[in-house]
Amino acid sequence: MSTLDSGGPSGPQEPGVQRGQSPRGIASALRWGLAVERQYVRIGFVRKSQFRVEFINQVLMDLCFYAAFILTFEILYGLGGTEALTLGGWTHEEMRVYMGMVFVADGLFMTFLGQQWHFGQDLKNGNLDSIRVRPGPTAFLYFFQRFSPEGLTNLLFGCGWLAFALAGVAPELVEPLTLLWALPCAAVVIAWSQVFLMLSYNVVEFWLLNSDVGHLVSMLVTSFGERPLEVYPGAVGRVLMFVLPVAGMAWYPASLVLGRLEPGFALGYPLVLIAFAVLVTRVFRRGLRRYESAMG
Amino acid sequence: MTSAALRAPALLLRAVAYEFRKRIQFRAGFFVREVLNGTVEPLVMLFVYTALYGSAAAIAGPGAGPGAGPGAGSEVGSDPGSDPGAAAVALGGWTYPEIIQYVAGLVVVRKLIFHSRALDLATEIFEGRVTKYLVMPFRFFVLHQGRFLQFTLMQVVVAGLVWLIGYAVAPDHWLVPVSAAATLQAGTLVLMGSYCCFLIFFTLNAMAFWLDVVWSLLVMAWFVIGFTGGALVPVSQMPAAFYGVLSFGFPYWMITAPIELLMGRLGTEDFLFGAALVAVQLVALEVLRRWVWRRGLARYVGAGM
Repeated sequence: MSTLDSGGPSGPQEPGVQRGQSPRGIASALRWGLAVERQYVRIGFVRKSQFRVEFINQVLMDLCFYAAFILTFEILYGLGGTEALTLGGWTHEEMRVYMGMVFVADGLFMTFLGQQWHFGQDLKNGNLDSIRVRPGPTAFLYFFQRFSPEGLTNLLFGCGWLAFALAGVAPELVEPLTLLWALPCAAVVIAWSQVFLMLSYNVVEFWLLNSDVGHLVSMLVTSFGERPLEVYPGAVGRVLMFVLPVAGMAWYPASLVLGRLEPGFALGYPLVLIAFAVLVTRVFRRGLRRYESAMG
Repeated sequence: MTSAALRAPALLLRAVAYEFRKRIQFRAGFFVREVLNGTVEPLVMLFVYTALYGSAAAIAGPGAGPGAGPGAGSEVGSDPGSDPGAAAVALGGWTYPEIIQYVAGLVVVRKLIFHSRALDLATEIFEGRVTKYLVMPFRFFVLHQGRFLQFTLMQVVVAGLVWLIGYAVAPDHWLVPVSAAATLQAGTLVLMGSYCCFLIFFTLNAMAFWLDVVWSLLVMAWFVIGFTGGALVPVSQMPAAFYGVLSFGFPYWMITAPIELLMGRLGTEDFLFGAALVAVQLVALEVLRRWVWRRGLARYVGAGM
């Protein structure tokens, strides 16, 4: 069976990986992952070249979401008639940066993880078979298979808004040198959080098949994460920070870039995200053992 | 002729019964889709408004809400509702207690609005299944009207339950209609608006005769309807220019205006004006639906994709 290369038996083979075997070692696994992702990207572009109107529609759809989001907060901050009005301590300029992080998180999600919307149905229909027999992490091969060029386009819009928002923040709040290390760190945290939060929504489907519970949790958590955690009551804020760490989606990255975090917390919080990832991966593996090809 | 006239209502009733059976078949899914759906965003909206009014009260002066002023970024749990200073602050003509009532009304009203997921016409077109309905001796649209009716009947019950639960949990803050007449007027506007949504979603689904995928159009339509109706911010709290334009659209009369009627901020004259405005848009949308459907059928070959 051809495994890593979608191009068939004569396709490229990554160094350090034997055909039909799992990649060994971190470097080999990374090379292998990139090779697979390259194929997914290629397929994504080929697919969307056939649906040109749909491409435009999806870009417009996300822009509508961004516009509604931006307008909502512009209206809310404009209500007080004063620059002193804040949302849980977030000024208007800081909130624009926060929105930028939300858009980048959304763009990353839409670009790489769109397949998650079909997980419940695929589980029910037994469509995971062809993924499970491949030598590699099932979750990676399944959830990353639907690369979205329109998501990438919206990710670029999101980055553009973030740059605009950062340019509007007072220079004493964000130093250019800080941005050099904080922005890449923020990007990594957003990507990491999105992947493992997405996985956590979907593990529910192994037990409550095609129930829409995963989608509801996704909607619930995403909606909460799209606003600064300070606006929520203490217990809700702590759950979103430490139990279902949605804070990694936008709150932590925005706070990091804007210098709103204590150094100790800034260094320690990624450990929460790592612990969450380990836990979710284990639960996902346990759920995968329940998979019986056709479950519904 | 007479038998044809009798057949349509009989078919409509049968379609409604069938749709009910289909919806309650999966109880967990039913609970998630019909009961919990539409409650998350208003809840988040409430938290955001709580923080906003807390900040406004802090700016306004002593006696303001705790921990929400500038520089109090890490503090959570401010509750302007418990503070008389915050309760007195008005933003865009709305006080904090009024906003709480608005959010409560929003939870109930959103239950009644027909949503795009309730139709699967596009799939029927893609897969060429429309053909089997076209050879049957009735209007295909009646089946979808049956679905709308089933949705409305079920959601009236769900909305009633949600209202009762909310009232039982927070009777002092929950939205209690000012009169039975206001409730009837608000209900009429919401249902007329919901039918407008139904017509829009049907028309967008019918775009599947030309387009390969239509779900993004449906999502986009809901973003626009939700924002312009007041699902994120009450339209009457928006700047005057926005209000001036949006108050002529049916979404405003489907979301913000009914809640304001229930609160007593709008009266019977407003209702009559709104009902007339929505009726005109409803007729226009029906004409558009028929036109798109006929054009689509003219190019339909029954093969699907």
